[in-house]
Amino acid sequence: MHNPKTYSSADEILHSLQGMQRATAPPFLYQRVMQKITSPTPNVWDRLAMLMARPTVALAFALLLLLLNATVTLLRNNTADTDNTAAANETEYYNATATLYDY
Amino acid sequence: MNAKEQAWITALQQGDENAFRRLVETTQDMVYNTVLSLVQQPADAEEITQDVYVQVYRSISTFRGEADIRTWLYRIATAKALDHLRRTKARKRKWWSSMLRYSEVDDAPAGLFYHPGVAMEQKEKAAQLFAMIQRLPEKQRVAFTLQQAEGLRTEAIAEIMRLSTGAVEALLFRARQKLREMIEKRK
Repeated sequence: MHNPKTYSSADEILHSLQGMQRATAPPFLYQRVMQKITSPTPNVWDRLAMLMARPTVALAFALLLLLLNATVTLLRNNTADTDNTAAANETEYYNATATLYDY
Repeated sequence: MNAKEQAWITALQQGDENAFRRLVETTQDMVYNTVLSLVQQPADAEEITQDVYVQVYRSISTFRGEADIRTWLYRIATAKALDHLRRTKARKRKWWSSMLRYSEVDDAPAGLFYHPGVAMEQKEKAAQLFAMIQRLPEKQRVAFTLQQAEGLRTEAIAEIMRLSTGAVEALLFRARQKLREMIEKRK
C-alpha cells in the first residue's frame, strides 16, 4: 500500500516528462555528417597516433619509460658494486698472500 | 509508403545528395532527441547523431522499405546510443575495478541531466527522473524513453524494438513500477 503523500509526489516525478518538447539538433549537423562521410578513413599509423595522443596512454607510456630507465640505472649500479667488491677482494687476497718475491 | 516517399527512398539509395540532405534536415531533431534522452550528454549525443547518419548513408542500400524510414532511424539511433552506454559503462568498470577493486558501477552520469525540452517548472523533477531512468534495464529504458521523450505510441515502440505490443506494454509497466520503487526508496 502506497503512502498517499509519497504516492502523489512519486506521480509528480513520474509524470514530469509529459508535454516535453523535442531537443533541437545542433546547427550544421548535415555539414558535419558530410564531413565525416567524405573524410578518409584513418590508416594504421593514424590510429596509432590517435592512440598515443590520448593523455592516459601518453602518461602510461612516459611512466613506463621512466620505470625502464630507473631499472636499467639500478641494475648498472648493482653490477658496478659487484665489480668493485670483487676487485677489492682480489687486492686484499694478493696482499695477504706471501709470494716468493716477498722474501 | 506512398509513391512520393518511395521515390525519395529510391533517390536516397541512388546516392542523391539532396535526398540525403532532406532526410537529415527533416529527421535530425527526432534522432538527436532520442539519442540525447538515452545518453543524457549533449556532446556525446551530437557525435552519435552524426554517426547514425553516416551509417544511414552507407547502408541505405540495405533498407528494404518494409518498415517506415523513421522506424529504421529510431532502430539505428537506439542501437548506437545503447552501444555508447555499454562502452562507457565498461570503461568505468575497468577504471574502478583497477583502482579500487570495486565492480558495481552506477550507470548514471556524474551530474543531473536537464533536458532542454522540459518546461522550467518541471526541470528538477525531470532531472531526477532521468537519473533514475539510467538505472533501468536496457529494454525498459528504451521503451520508456521512446514513450516519454518522443511521445510514441506502444505500437510504434513495438515496431522499433521488434517486439509485440503486449511485450512493450509489460516493459513500460515494469519500468514505471521500478521507477516508483526508486522514488519511494529515496524518501
